[in-house]
Amino acid sequence: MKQYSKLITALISVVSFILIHTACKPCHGMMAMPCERSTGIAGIVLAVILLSDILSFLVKQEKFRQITSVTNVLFGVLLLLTPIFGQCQIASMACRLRTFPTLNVSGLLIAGVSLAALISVLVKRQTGRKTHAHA
Amino acid sequence: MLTPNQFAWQSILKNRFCSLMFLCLVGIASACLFGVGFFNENLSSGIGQVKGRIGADLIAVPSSYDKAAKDALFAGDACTILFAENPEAQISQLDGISQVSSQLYLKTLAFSCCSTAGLQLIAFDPKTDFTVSKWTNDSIENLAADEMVVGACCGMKQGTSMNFYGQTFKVADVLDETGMGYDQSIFISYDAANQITSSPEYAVYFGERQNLSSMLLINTNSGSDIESLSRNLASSLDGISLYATDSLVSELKSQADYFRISGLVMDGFVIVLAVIALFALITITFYQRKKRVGSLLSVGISRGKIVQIFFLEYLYLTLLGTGAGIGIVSVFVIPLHQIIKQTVNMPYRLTDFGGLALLILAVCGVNLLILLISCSLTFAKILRTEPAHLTEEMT
Repeated sequence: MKQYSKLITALISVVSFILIHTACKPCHGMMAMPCERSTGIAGIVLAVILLSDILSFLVKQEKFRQITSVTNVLFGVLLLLTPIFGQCQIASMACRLRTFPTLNVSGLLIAGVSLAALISVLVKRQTGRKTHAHA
Repeated sequence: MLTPNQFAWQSILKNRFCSLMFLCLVGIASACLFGVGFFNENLSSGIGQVKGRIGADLIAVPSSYDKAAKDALFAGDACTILFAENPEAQISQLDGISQVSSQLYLKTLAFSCCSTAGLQLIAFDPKTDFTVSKWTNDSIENLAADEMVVGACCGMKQGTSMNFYGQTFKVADVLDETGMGYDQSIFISYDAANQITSSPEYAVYFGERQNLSSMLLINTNSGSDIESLSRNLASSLDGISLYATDSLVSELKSQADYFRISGLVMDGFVIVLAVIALFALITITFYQRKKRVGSLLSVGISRGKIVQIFFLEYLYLTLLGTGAGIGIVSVFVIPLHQIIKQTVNMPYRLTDFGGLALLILAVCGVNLLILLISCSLTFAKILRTEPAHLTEEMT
Protein backbone atom coordinates (compact mmCIF):
# COMPACT_ATOMS: atom_id res chain seq x y z
CA MET A 1 0.00 0.00 0.00
CA LYS A 2 2.72 2.47 1.01
CA GLN A 3 4.68 1.93 -2.23
CA TYR A 4 1.49 2.31 -4.28
CA SER A 5 0.62 5.43 -2.32
CA LYS A 6 3.99 6.99 -3.23
CA LEU A 7 3.39 6.14 -6.88
CA ILE A 8 -0.11 7.64 -6.77
CA THR A 9 0.99 10.86 -5.01
CA ALA A 10 3.93 11.20 -7.41
CA LEU A 11 1.55 10.86 -10.38
CA ILE A 12 -0.93 13.36 -8.90
CA SER A 13 1.83 15.90 -8.24
CA VAL A 14 3.22 15.55 -11.80
CA VAL A 15 -0.24 15.88 -13.40
CA SER A 16 -1.14 18.85 -11.16
CA PHE A 17 2.19 20.55 -11.87
CA ILE A 18 1.60 20.21 -15.61
CA LEU A 19 -2.03 21.36 -15.31
CA ILE A 20 -1.28 24.54 -13.33
CA HIS A 21 1.26 25.51 -15.98
CA THR A 22 -0.92 24.68 -18.99
CA ALA A 23 -4.72 24.22 -19.03
CA CYS A 24 -5.31 25.54 -15.52
CA LYS A 25 -2.72 28.30 -15.34
CA PRO A 26 -3.55 31.39 -13.27
CA CYS A 27 -4.42 34.87 -14.53
CA HIS A 28 -1.63 36.79 -16.17
CA GLY A 29 -1.50 40.56 -16.40
CA MET A 30 0.89 43.35 -17.16
CA MET A 31 1.80 43.59 -13.48
CA ALA A 32 2.66 40.81 -10.99
CA MET A 33 -0.55 39.21 -9.75
CA PRO A 34 -1.13 37.63 -6.32
CA CYS A 35 -2.44 34.37 -7.81
CA GLU A 36 0.79 33.92 -9.80
CA ARG A 37 2.77 34.04 -6.55
CA SER A 38 0.45 31.45 -4.92
CA THR A 39 0.69 29.19 -7.95
CA GLY A 40 4.49 29.49 -7.82
CA ILE A 41 4.43 28.35 -4.18
CA ALA A 42 2.07 25.48 -5.08
CA GLY A 43 4.45 24.47 -7.87
CA ILE A 44 7.34 24.30 -5.37
CA VAL A 45 5.21 22.21 -2.97
CA LEU A 46 4.30 19.79 -5.78
CA ALA A 47 7.96 19.50 -6.80
CA VAL A 48 8.93 18.76 -3.16
CA ILE A 49 6.22 16.05 -2.94
CA LEU A 50 7.53 14.46 -6.15
CA LEU A 51 11.13 14.61 -4.88
CA SER A 52 10.23 13.03 -1.53
CA ASP A 53 8.32 10.26 -3.35
CA ILE A 54 11.30 9.53 -5.61
CA LEU A 55 13.61 9.51 -2.56
CA SER A 56 11.32 7.09 -0.70
CA PHE A 57 11.59 4.71 -3.68
CA LEU A 58 15.37 4.90 -3.48
CA VAL A 59 15.82 4.91 0.30
CA LYS A 60 14.51 1.56 1.55
CA GLN A 61 14.28 2.57 5.22
CA GLU A 62 10.79 2.09 6.70
CA LYS A 63 11.09 5.12 8.96
CA PHE A 64 11.98 7.41 6.06
CA ARG A 65 8.91 6.22 4.13
CA GLN A 66 6.67 6.92 7.10
CA ILE A 67 8.15 10.39 7.52
CA THR A 68 7.53 11.16 3.82
CA SER A 69 3.91 9.97 4.24
CA VAL A 70 3.46 12.41 7.14
CA THR A 71 5.08 15.26 5.17
CA ASN A 72 2.87 14.43 2.16
CA VAL A 73 -0.24 14.80 4.33
CA LEU A 74 1.05 18.20 5.50
CA PHE A 75 1.95 19.29 1.96
CA GLY A 76 -1.50 18.18 0.78
CA VAL A 77 -3.06 20.45 3.39
CA LEU A 78 -0.67 23.24 2.33
CA LEU A 79 -1.90 22.88 -1.27
CA LEU A 80 -5.46 23.42 0.01
CA LEU A 81 -4.29 26.59 1.74
CA THR A 82 -2.37 28.14 -1.19
CA PRO A 83 -5.07 30.80 -1.89
CA ILE A 84 -4.05 32.50 1.39
CA PHE A 85 -0.79 33.53 -0.31
CA GLY A 86 -2.87 35.62 -2.72
CA GLN A 87 -5.73 35.26 -5.18
CA CYS A 88 -7.77 37.47 -7.51
CA GLN A 89 -10.80 39.21 -6.11
CA ILE A 90 -13.44 37.91 -8.51
CA ALA A 91 -14.58 34.29 -8.55
CA SER A 92 -14.85 34.10 -12.33
CA MET A 93 -11.13 34.83 -12.83
CA ALA A 94 -9.04 31.95 -14.24
CA CYS A 95 -7.14 31.38 -10.98
CA ARG A 96 -10.29 30.93 -8.89
CA LEU A 97 -12.13 29.03 -11.59
CA ARG A 98 -9.40 26.54 -12.54
CA THR A 99 -6.03 26.85 -10.77
CA PHE A 100 -7.13 26.76 -7.12
CA PRO A 101 -9.87 24.11 -7.61
CA THR A 102 -7.22 21.92 -9.35
CA LEU A 103 -4.86 22.47 -6.42
CA ASN A 104 -7.71 21.72 -3.98
CA VAL A 105 -8.46 18.40 -5.72
CA SER A 106 -4.78 17.40 -5.84
CA GLY A 107 -4.24 18.51 -2.23
CA LEU A 108 -7.21 16.46 -1.02
CA LEU A 109 -6.10 13.41 -3.02
CA ILE A 110 -2.45 13.62 -1.89
CA ALA A 111 -3.42 14.12 1.77
CA GLY A 112 -6.09 11.36 1.57
CA VAL A 113 -3.85 8.76 -0.10
CA SER A 114 -0.93 9.48 2.26
CA LEU A 115 -3.22 9.32 5.29
CA ALA A 116 -4.67 5.99 4.09
CA ALA A 117 -1.09 4.66 3.69
CA LEU A 118 -0.20 5.78 7.22
CA ILE A 119 -3.35 4.18 8.66
CA SER A 120 -2.63 0.92 6.81
CA VAL A 121 0.90 0.86 8.31
CA LEU A 122 -0.53 1.45 11.79
CA VAL A 123 -3.20 -1.28 11.38
CA LYS A 124 -0.59 -3.71 10.07
CA ARG A 125 1.68 -2.93 13.01
CA GLN A 126 -1.22 -3.39 15.45
CA THR A 127 -2.28 -6.76 13.97
CA GLY A 128 1.39 -7.81 13.83
CA ARG A 129 1.78 -7.04 17.53
CA LYS A 130 -1.39 -9.02 18.39
CA THR A 131 -0.22 -12.06 16.39
CA HIS A 132 3.15 -11.82 18.11
CA ALA A 133 1.49 -11.67 21.54
CA HIS A 134 -0.72 -14.71 20.71
CA ALA A 135 2.37 -16.66 19.58
CA MET B 1 -13.08 -16.12 21.93
CA LEU B 2 -13.61 -14.15 18.72
CA THR B 3 -16.90 -12.34 18.26
CA PRO B 4 -18.55 -12.34 14.76
CA ASN B 5 -17.45 -8.73 14.49
CA GLN B 6 -13.77 -9.53 15.10
CA PHE B 7 -14.03 -12.60 12.87
CA ALA B 8 -15.35 -10.42 10.03
CA TRP B 9 -12.53 -7.85 10.38
CA GLN B 10 -9.95 -10.63 10.51
CA SER B 11 -11.32 -12.10 7.27
CA ILE B 12 -11.17 -8.67 5.63
CA LEU B 13 -7.53 -8.17 6.64
CA LYS B 14 -6.50 -11.75 5.82
CA ASN B 15 -8.02 -11.84 2.31
CA ARG B 16 -6.66 -8.45 1.32
CA PHE B 17 -6.85 -8.93 -2.44
CA CYS B 18 -10.50 -10.10 -2.40
CA SER B 19 -11.41 -7.32 0.05
CA LEU B 20 -9.73 -4.73 -2.16
CA MET B 21 -11.56 -5.98 -5.25
CA PHE B 22 -14.89 -5.93 -3.41
CA LEU B 23 -14.11 -2.41 -2.15
CA CYS B 24 -13.22 -1.24 -5.67
CA LEU B 25 -16.42 -2.70 -7.18
CA VAL B 26 -18.67 -1.12 -4.55
CA GLY B 27 -16.65 2.12 -4.73
CA ILE B 28 -17.03 2.41 -8.52
CA ALA B 29 -20.76 1.59 -8.37
CA SER B 30 -21.25 4.17 -5.58
CA ALA B 31 -19.23 6.79 -7.45
CA CYS B 32 -21.42 6.29 -10.56
CA LEU B 33 -24.71 6.30 -8.64
CA PHE B 34 -23.74 9.29 -6.48
CA GLY B 35 -22.11 11.25 -9.31
CA VAL B 36 -25.11 10.90 -11.64
CA GLY B 37 -27.59 11.58 -8.81
CA PHE B 38 -25.66 14.62 -7.56
CA PHE B 39 -25.43 16.13 -11.06
CA ASN B 40 -29.18 15.65 -11.66
CA GLU B 41 -30.05 17.03 -8.20
CA ASN B 42 -27.95 20.14 -8.88
CA LEU B 43 -29.61 20.64 -12.28
CA SER B 44 -33.10 20.26 -10.77
CA SER B 45 -32.17 22.64 -7.97
CA GLY B 46 -30.96 25.25 -10.50
CA ILE B 47 -33.97 24.91 -12.82
CA GLY B 48 -36.40 24.94 -9.89
CA GLN B 49 -35.15 28.43 -9.03
CA VAL B 50 -35.48 29.93 -12.54
CA LYS B 51 -39.17 30.81 -12.58
CA GLY B 52 -39.11 32.29 -9.10
CA ARG B 53 -35.85 34.12 -9.64
CA ILE B 54 -36.63 35.78 -12.99
CA GLY B 55 -39.93 36.89 -11.52
CA ALA B 56 -41.30 38.09 -14.88
CA ASP B 57 -43.89 36.61 -17.23
CA LEU B 58 -42.17 37.75 -20.42
CA ILE B 59 -38.63 38.67 -21.41
CA ALA B 60 -37.94 40.90 -24.40
CA VAL B 61 -34.49 41.06 -26.01
CA PRO B 62 -33.21 42.43 -29.33
CA SER B 63 -33.78 39.66 -31.91
CA SER B 64 -30.17 39.83 -33.14
CA TYR B 65 -28.95 38.97 -29.61
CA ASP B 66 -31.18 35.90 -28.94
CA LYS B 67 -28.37 33.46 -28.19
CA ALA B 68 -26.19 35.98 -26.35
CA ALA B 69 -29.11 36.87 -24.06
CA LYS B 70 -29.87 33.22 -23.26
CA ASP B 71 -26.19 32.50 -22.56
CA ALA B 72 -25.92 35.56 -20.32
CA LEU B 73 -29.11 34.64 -18.47
CA PHE B 74 -28.47 30.95 -17.89
CA ALA B 75 -24.72 30.33 -18.33
CA GLY B 76 -23.33 33.68 -17.20
CA ASP B 77 -21.42 34.32 -20.44
CA ALA B 78 -20.70 38.04 -20.35
CA CYS B 79 -21.90 40.13 -23.28
CA THR B 80 -23.01 43.62 -24.22
CA ILE B 81 -26.55 43.71 -25.60
CA LEU B 82 -28.21 46.85 -26.91
CA PHE B 83 -31.65 47.70 -28.31
CA ALA B 84 -31.40 50.23 -31.14
CA GLU B 85 -34.17 52.15 -29.34
CA ASN B 86 -35.37 51.48 -25.79
CA PRO B 87 -38.95 50.15 -26.25
CA GLU B 88 -39.86 50.38 -22.54
CA ALA B 89 -42.26 53.34 -22.93
CA GLN B 90 -44.05 51.71 -25.91
CA ILE B 91 -44.53 48.38 -24.15
CA SER B 92 -45.70 49.83 -20.84
CA GLN B 93 -48.58 51.59 -22.64
CA LEU B 94 -49.96 48.41 -24.19
CA ASP B 95 -53.06 46.65 -22.82
CA GLY B 96 -52.54 43.72 -20.48
CA ILE B 97 -49.12 44.87 -19.24
CA SER B 98 -48.84 45.60 -15.52
CA GLN B 99 -45.09 46.14 -14.97
CA VAL B 100 -42.06 46.73 -17.20
CA SER B 101 -38.49 46.98 -15.95
CA SER B 102 -35.49 47.62 -18.16
CA GLN B 103 -32.02 46.11 -17.69
CA LEU B 104 -28.79 46.98 -19.48
CA TYR B 105 -26.15 44.24 -20.03
CA LEU B 106 -22.56 45.45 -20.29
CA LYS B 107 -19.43 43.36 -20.58
CA THR B 108 -16.57 44.92 -18.61
CA LEU B 109 -13.40 46.01 -20.35
CA ALA B 110 -9.86 45.21 -19.15
CA PHE B 111 -9.39 46.84 -15.77
CA SER B 112 -6.31 47.80 -13.82
CA CYS B 113 -6.17 45.08 -11.12
CA CYS B 114 -6.33 41.99 -13.34
CA SER B 115 -6.09 41.89 -17.09
CA THR B 116 -8.85 39.30 -17.54
CA ALA B 117 -11.91 41.34 -18.38
CA GLY B 118 -15.32 40.05 -19.37
CA LEU B 119 -17.46 40.37 -16.25
CA GLN B 120 -21.18 40.88 -16.68
CA LEU B 121 -22.47 44.23 -15.46
CA ILE B 122 -26.27 44.53 -15.32
CA ALA B 123 -27.79 47.94 -14.84
CA PHE B 124 -31.29 47.99 -13.38
CA ASP B 125 -33.66 50.69 -12.28
CA PRO B 126 -34.25 50.21 -8.53
CA LYS B 127 -37.53 52.17 -8.81
CA THR B 128 -39.21 49.96 -11.42
CA ASP B 129 -37.35 46.75 -10.58
CA PHE B 130 -39.35 43.72 -9.48
CA THR B 131 -36.73 40.99 -9.98
CA VAL B 132 -33.31 41.85 -8.48
CA SER B 133 -34.84 43.10 -5.20
CA LYS B 134 -36.47 39.64 -4.74
CA TRP B 135 -33.07 37.99 -4.28
CA THR B 136 -32.01 39.97 -1.26
CA ASN B 137 -33.38 40.58 2.21
CA ASP B 138 -32.05 44.14 2.31
CA SER B 139 -33.69 46.99 0.48
CA ILE B 140 -31.77 48.07 -2.62
CA GLU B 141 -34.25 50.73 -3.68
CA ASN B 142 -31.80 53.51 -2.84
CA LEU B 143 -28.74 51.98 -4.50
CA ALA B 144 -26.28 54.85 -5.00
CA ALA B 145 -24.43 55.46 -8.28
CA ASP B 146 -21.14 54.29 -6.73
CA GLU B 147 -22.62 51.11 -5.23
CA MET B 148 -23.15 47.65 -6.69
CA VAL B 149 -24.95 44.46 -5.76
CA VAL B 150 -23.07 41.26 -6.62
CA GLY B 151 -24.18 37.71 -7.47
CA ALA B 152 -23.50 34.87 -5.03
CA CYS B 153 -20.61 33.40 -7.05
CA CYS B 154 -18.71 36.64 -7.67
CA GLY B 155 -16.62 35.93 -4.59
CA MET B 156 -16.88 39.48 -3.27
CA LYS B 157 -17.93 40.56 0.20
CA GLN B 158 -19.94 43.54 1.34
CA GLY B 159 -17.74 46.64 1.48
CA THR B 160 -15.26 45.45 -1.20
CA SER B 161 -14.44 48.00 -3.91
CA MET B 162 -13.85 47.34 -7.59
CA ASN B 163 -13.10 49.46 -10.64
CA PHE B 164 -15.21 49.18 -13.83
CA TYR B 165 -15.22 51.55 -16.80
CA GLY B 166 -12.98 53.96 -14.85
CA GLN B 167 -15.41 54.19 -11.88
CA THR B 168 -15.03 52.68 -8.44
CA PHE B 169 -18.01 50.74 -7.08
CA LYS B 170 -18.49 49.45 -3.54
CA VAL B 171 -20.39 46.22 -2.81
CA ALA B 172 -23.65 47.16 -1.06
CA ASP B 173 -25.15 43.67 -0.96
CA VAL B 174 -24.60 40.07 -2.06
CA LEU B 175 -27.54 38.20 -3.65
CA ASP B 176 -28.64 34.65 -2.83
CA GLU B 177 -27.46 31.89 -5.20
CA THR B 178 -29.78 31.49 -8.19
CA GLY B 179 -27.98 28.82 -10.22
CA MET B 180 -28.24 31.10 -13.28
CA GLY B 181 -25.88 33.53 -14.96
CA TYR B 182 -26.96 36.15 -12.42
CA ASP B 183 -24.66 34.49 -9.87
CA GLN B 184 -21.61 35.75 -11.77
CA SER B 185 -23.14 39.17 -12.56
CA ILE B 186 -22.67 42.55 -10.94
CA PHE B 187 -25.70 44.83 -10.64
CA ILE B 188 -25.44 48.62 -10.73
CA SER B 189 -28.08 51.34 -10.88
CA TYR B 190 -29.19 52.98 -14.14
CA ASP B 191 -27.72 56.28 -12.86
CA ALA B 192 -24.26 54.68 -12.78
CA ALA B 193 -24.81 53.03 -16.19
CA ASN B 194 -25.88 56.39 -17.69
CA GLN B 195 -22.63 57.96 -16.48
CA ILE B 196 -20.73 55.23 -18.34
CA THR B 197 -22.75 55.20 -21.56
CA SER B 198 -22.86 59.01 -21.86
CA SER B 199 -19.14 59.36 -21.21
CA PRO B 200 -17.11 60.60 -24.24
CA GLU B 201 -14.42 58.09 -23.20
CA TYR B 202 -16.68 55.19 -24.26
CA ALA B 203 -18.39 56.99 -27.16
CA VAL B 204 -17.11 54.33 -29.56
CA TYR B 205 -19.17 51.70 -27.69
CA PHE B 206 -22.29 53.60 -26.61
CA GLY B 207 -22.37 56.80 -28.67
CA GLU B 208 -22.64 59.05 -25.58
CA ARG B 209 -26.28 57.98 -25.12
CA GLN B 210 -28.32 57.51 -21.94
CA ASN B 211 -31.07 55.08 -20.86
CA LEU B 212 -29.92 52.30 -23.15
CA SER B 213 -31.61 48.94 -22.72
CA SER B 214 -30.73 45.28 -23.33
CA MET B 215 -33.60 43.36 -21.83
CA LEU B 216 -37.13 44.18 -20.73
CA LEU B 217 -38.73 42.17 -17.98
CA ILE B 218 -42.50 42.27 -18.36
CA ASN B 219 -45.26 41.27 -15.98
CA THR B 220 -48.78 40.86 -17.34
CA ASN B 221 -52.10 41.59 -15.66
CA SER B 222 -53.47 38.61 -13.77
CA GLY B 223 -55.64 36.43 -15.99
CA SER B 224 -54.02 37.63 -19.24
CA ASP B 225 -53.20 35.06 -21.90
CA ILE B 226 -49.40 35.34 -21.96
CA GLU B 227 -48.99 33.51 -25.29
CA SER B 228 -51.41 35.73 -27.22
CA LEU B 229 -50.03 38.85 -25.54
CA SER B 230 -46.53 37.78 -26.56
CA ARG B 231 -47.68 37.30 -30.18
CA ASN B 232 -49.35 40.74 -30.21
CA LEU B 233 -46.23 42.39 -28.80
CA ALA B 234 -43.96 40.67 -31.29
CA SER B 235 -46.14 41.78 -34.22
CA SER B 236 -46.41 45.38 -33.05
CA LEU B 237 -42.68 45.89 -32.32
CA ASP B 238 -39.87 45.33 -34.81
CA GLY B 239 -36.54 43.67 -33.96
CA ILE B 240 -37.73 42.20 -30.67
CA SER B 241 -37.71 38.57 -29.53
CA LEU B 242 -40.12 37.69 -26.76
CA TYR B 243 -39.85 34.70 -24.46
CA ALA B 244 -42.46 33.50 -21.99
CA THR B 245 -40.66 32.48 -18.77
CA ASP B 246 -42.90 29.40 -18.48
CA SER B 247 -41.86 28.12 -21.92
CA LEU B 248 -38.18 28.84 -21.13
CA VAL B 249 -38.52 26.84 -17.91
CA SER B 250 -40.28 23.95 -19.66
CA GLU B 251 -37.55 23.93 -22.34
CA LEU B 252 -34.92 23.71 -19.58
CA LYS B 253 -36.91 21.01 -17.80
CA SER B 254 -37.07 18.86 -20.93
CA GLN B 255 -33.27 19.17 -21.28
CA ALA B 256 -32.87 18.20 -17.62
CA ASP B 257 -35.22 15.23 -18.15
CA TYR B 258 -32.96 14.03 -20.98
CA PHE B 259 -29.99 14.10 -18.56
CA ARG B 260 -32.07 12.35 -15.86
CA ILE B 261 -33.22 9.53 -18.16
CA SER B 262 -29.68 9.01 -19.49
CA GLY B 263 -28.46 8.91 -15.89
CA LEU B 264 -31.12 6.37 -14.90
CA VAL B 265 -30.17 4.09 -17.81
CA MET B 266 -26.50 4.33 -16.78
CA ASP B 267 -27.43 3.63 -13.13
CA GLY B 268 -29.38 0.56 -14.26
CA PHE B 269 -26.36 -0.85 -16.10
CA VAL B 270 -24.09 -0.11 -13.15
CA ILE B 271 -26.44 -1.90 -10.73
CA VAL B 272 -26.74 -4.99 -12.97
CA LEU B 273 -22.96 -5.14 -13.46
CA ALA B 274 -22.32 -4.66 -9.73
CA VAL B 275 -24.78 -7.45 -8.81
CA ILE B 276 -23.15 -9.88 -11.29
CA ALA B 277 -19.58 -9.00 -10.24
CA LEU B 278 -20.31 -9.12 -6.49
CA PHE B 279 -22.28 -12.37 -6.84
CA ALA B 280 -19.30 -13.93 -8.64
CA LEU B 281 -16.83 -12.64 -6.04
CA ILE B 282 -18.93 -13.80 -3.07
CA THR B 283 -19.53 -17.24 -4.62
CA ILE B 284 -15.82 -17.75 -5.38
CA THR B 285 -14.92 -16.65 -1.83
CA PHE B 286 -17.53 -19.04 -0.41
CA TYR B 287 -16.13 -22.00 -2.39
CA GLN B 288 -12.63 -21.08 -1.17
CA ARG B 289 -13.87 -21.10 2.43
CA LYS B 290 -16.22 -24.08 2.08
CA LYS B 291 -14.11 -26.34 4.26
CA ARG B 292 -13.73 -23.64 6.91
CA VAL B 293 -17.52 -23.14 7.01
CA GLY B 294 -17.98 -26.92 7.29
CA SER B 295 -15.50 -27.08 10.18
CA LEU B 296 -17.27 -24.25 11.98
CA LEU B 297 -20.61 -26.06 11.57
CA SER B 298 -19.04 -29.31 12.79
CA VAL B 299 -17.80 -27.72 16.03
CA GLY B 300 -21.33 -26.52 16.78
CA ILE B 301 -21.35 -22.93 15.61
CA SER B 302 -24.87 -22.16 14.42
CA ARG B 303 -25.62 -21.50 10.74
CA GLY B 304 -27.08 -18.14 11.70
CA LYS B 305 -23.79 -17.06 13.27
CA ILE B 306 -21.82 -18.13 10.19
CA VAL B 307 -24.18 -16.18 7.94
CA GLN B 308 -23.77 -13.24 10.33
CA ILE B 309 -19.96 -13.41 10.03
CA PHE B 310 -20.16 -13.48 6.21
CA PHE B 311 -22.74 -10.70 6.14
CA LEU B 312 -20.79 -8.45 8.54
CA GLU B 313 -17.65 -8.85 6.44
CA TYR B 314 -19.44 -7.78 3.26
CA LEU B 315 -21.45 -5.10 5.07
CA TYR B 316 -18.28 -3.41 6.35
CA LEU B 317 -16.71 -3.59 2.90
CA THR B 318 -19.90 -2.21 1.30
CA LEU B 319 -20.04 0.71 3.74
CA LEU B 320 -16.33 1.45 3.27
CA GLY B 321 -16.65 1.24 -0.52
CA THR B 322 -19.74 3.48 -0.51
CA GLY B 323 -17.91 6.06 1.61
CA ALA B 324 -14.85 5.91 -0.64
CA GLY B 325 -16.94 6.26 -3.84
CA ILE B 326 -18.94 9.20 -2.51
CA GLY B 327 -15.76 10.79 -1.10
CA ILE B 328 -13.85 10.55 -4.38
CA VAL B 329 -16.73 12.04 -6.39
CA SER B 330 -17.11 14.86 -3.82
CA VAL B 331 -13.37 15.62 -3.98
CA PHE B 332 -13.74 16.30 -7.71
CA VAL B 333 -17.28 17.65 -8.06
CA ILE B 334 -17.42 20.16 -5.19
CA PRO B 335 -14.16 22.08 -5.85
CA LEU B 336 -14.80 22.02 -9.62
CA HIS B 337 -18.42 23.16 -9.23
CA GLN B 338 -17.94 26.43 -11.14
CA ILE B 339 -16.28 24.71 -14.12
CA ILE B 340 -19.12 22.15 -14.32
CA LYS B 341 -21.65 25.00 -14.08
CA GLN B 342 -20.04 26.76 -17.05
CA THR B 343 -19.76 23.54 -19.05
CA VAL B 344 -23.41 22.44 -18.77
CA ASN B 345 -24.68 25.82 -20.00
CA MET B 346 -27.85 25.43 -17.93
CA PRO B 347 -28.99 26.66 -14.50
CA TYR B 348 -26.91 24.59 -12.09
CA ARG B 349 -26.84 25.07 -8.33
CA LEU B 350 -25.37 22.94 -5.53
CA THR B 351 -28.24 21.14 -3.85
CA ASP B 352 -28.93 21.88 -0.18
CA PHE B 353 -27.73 19.72 2.71
CA GLY B 354 -31.10 17.89 2.99
CA GLY B 355 -31.03 16.87 -0.67
CA LEU B 356 -27.42 15.73 -0.35
CA ALA B 357 -28.15 13.67 2.78
CA LEU B 358 -31.13 12.01 1.04
CA LEU B 359 -28.97 11.18 -1.97
CA ILE B 360 -26.26 9.63 0.22
CA LEU B 361 -28.92 7.56 2.02
CA ALA B 362 -30.36 6.46 -1.35
CA VAL B 363 -26.89 5.35 -2.58
CA CYS B 364 -26.32 3.44 0.70
CA GLY B 365 -29.77 1.82 0.31
CA VAL B 366 -29.13 0.76 -3.29
CA ASN B 367 -25.71 -0.66 -2.33
CA LEU B 368 -27.21 -2.63 0.55
CA LEU B 369 -29.85 -3.97 -1.83
CA ILE B 370 -27.11 -4.96 -4.31
CA LEU B 371 -25.29 -6.72 -1.45
CA LEU B 372 -28.42 -8.59 -0.31
CA ILE B 373 -29.19 -9.78 -3.85
CA SER B 374 -25.57 -10.86 -4.40
CA CYS B 375 -25.33 -12.66 -1.04
CA SER B 376 -28.71 -14.37 -0.99
CA LEU B 377 -27.75 -17.47 -3.01
CA THR B 378 -24.53 -18.07 -1.05
CA PHE B 379 -26.32 -17.66 2.27
CA ALA B 380 -29.08 -20.03 1.14
CA LYS B 381 -26.37 -22.57 0.34
CA ILE B 382 -24.80 -22.20 3.80
CA LEU B 383 -28.20 -22.64 5.44
CA ARG B 384 -29.09 -25.74 3.36
CA THR B 385 -25.86 -27.74 2.90
CA GLU B 386 -24.82 -30.42 5.37
CA PRO B 387 -21.48 -29.87 7.19
CA ALA B 388 -20.13 -33.15 5.76
CA HIS B 389 -20.72 -31.92 2.20
CA LEU B 390 -19.02 -28.67 2.96
CA THR B 391 -15.94 -30.34 4.43
CA GLU B 392 -16.11 -32.91 1.60
CA GLU B 393 -15.94 -35.81 4.07
CA MET B 394 -18.16 -38.36 2.29
CA THR B 395 -18.58 -41.94 3.42
